[in-house]
Amino acid sequence: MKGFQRNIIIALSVIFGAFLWLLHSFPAVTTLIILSFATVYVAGEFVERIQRKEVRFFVIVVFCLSLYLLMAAFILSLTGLVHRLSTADFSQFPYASTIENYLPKLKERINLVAVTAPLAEVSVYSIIYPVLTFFLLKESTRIRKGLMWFVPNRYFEAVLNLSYHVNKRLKAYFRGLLVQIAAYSIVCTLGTIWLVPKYAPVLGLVAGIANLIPFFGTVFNYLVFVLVLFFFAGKTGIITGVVTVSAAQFVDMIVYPVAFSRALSVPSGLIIIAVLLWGKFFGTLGMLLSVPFTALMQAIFVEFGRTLKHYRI
Amino acid sequence: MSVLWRYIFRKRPELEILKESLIFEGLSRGELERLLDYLYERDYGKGEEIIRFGEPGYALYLVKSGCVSVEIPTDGGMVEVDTIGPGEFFGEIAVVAEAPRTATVRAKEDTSVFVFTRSALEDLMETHPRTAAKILYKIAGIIAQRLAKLNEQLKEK
Repeated sequence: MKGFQRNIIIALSVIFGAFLWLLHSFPAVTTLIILSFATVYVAGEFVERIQRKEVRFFVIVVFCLSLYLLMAAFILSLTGLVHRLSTADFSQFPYASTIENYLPKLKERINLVAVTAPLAEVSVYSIIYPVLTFFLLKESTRIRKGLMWFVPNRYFEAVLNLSYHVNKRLKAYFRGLLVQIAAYSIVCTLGTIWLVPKYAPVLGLVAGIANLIPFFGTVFNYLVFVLVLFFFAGKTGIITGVVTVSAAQFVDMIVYPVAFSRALSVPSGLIIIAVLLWGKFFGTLGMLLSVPFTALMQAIFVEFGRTLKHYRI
Repeated sequence: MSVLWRYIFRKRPELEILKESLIFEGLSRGELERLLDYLYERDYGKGEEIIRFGEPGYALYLVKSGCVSVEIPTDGGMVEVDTIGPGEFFGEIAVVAEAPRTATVRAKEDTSVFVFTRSALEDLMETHPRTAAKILYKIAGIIAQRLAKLNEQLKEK
């Protein structure tokens, strides 16, 4: 194995290993860091475009404050919903007899979420996230330059080239992801707003994010929508839930190819394996992260192969 | 007050080098300062290869200090055809086209360079199109001049 190949593989393995260890040991903090990086990745260009007006600092502050307010509103709404559901009586649910064994467990889970996510802790995270995002947005250039200092001269241009192409692919991928979440969330919000106006946006966003988990996300969305809407509106809620999620799935089928037309497609077999493995080791969070990380690894390996072919290193 | 005055009108050596280089001349102080965010600084030891003939190019190099030699392959091995010093640049084609390097460039002594990448130019085109246009105009002018010179040489032959 050539030196460059070996060094890159070692570096990638160390970074990936460290990431998995962090995710396992400090899931909440690691998720926040990932969320901040993803935000900077997707929104960085948007912020830069506004910076053309030469209001740099102000724009970043306003952007991060808006993020903070949105996130606080989302978390407050979600906590409220979970609290209400934890006291719900599902015995009137049409299929309660079938799922009566699972119901106490589900309630226990919901209670657990309500207890383990107290407002104080959530507030701390909702402050860390915009602060971290602010720091990353402001210092992204320095961080990028600082990281390049570690690259030896011989590999400098090859690594620059590699990061440029990986970056291009990932940007397209993350933008696609954002469009997919937005489309799904909007349909789910619009479908439920007449029944649960207070919780429709949060339900829509949760569904949009859950939809990122292939196959399992769809099942989760049907279950959650049917249960939650039944709690608020009885049988009408069940019908609304099924129709809304089906409509969102249909829109997703149309939006997906357009949103990801410029991104590298990840083979579905690889997605299933990744979802199962990540889900096994890191639970729901792992399932959510599985597809973006598989896309990242695929982009790195594809571009790595291309770089090796062209550079004599 | 005089400290503030000196701070405002201080001469930053890296800005002076950029200002005097053919490719970035004509950019305002503000544009040059912004450009610095996009530039990488690298140090090369004597004899170290900076770019290699035939490899894909991705960046333009501006010599900050030191000196580099430009070598092209011939039947008799690599032959030095040019020497580039502070304020001069090489590898400009790579910024506008995905083409392989046309020469090997090696540091003749301990050399510092600024590196300006294709992605930096693309970012500039998105965020500061006027600055990007000035740089592209310069690059186009330089490449056109070289083409004209090459045509002349071909005619003479």
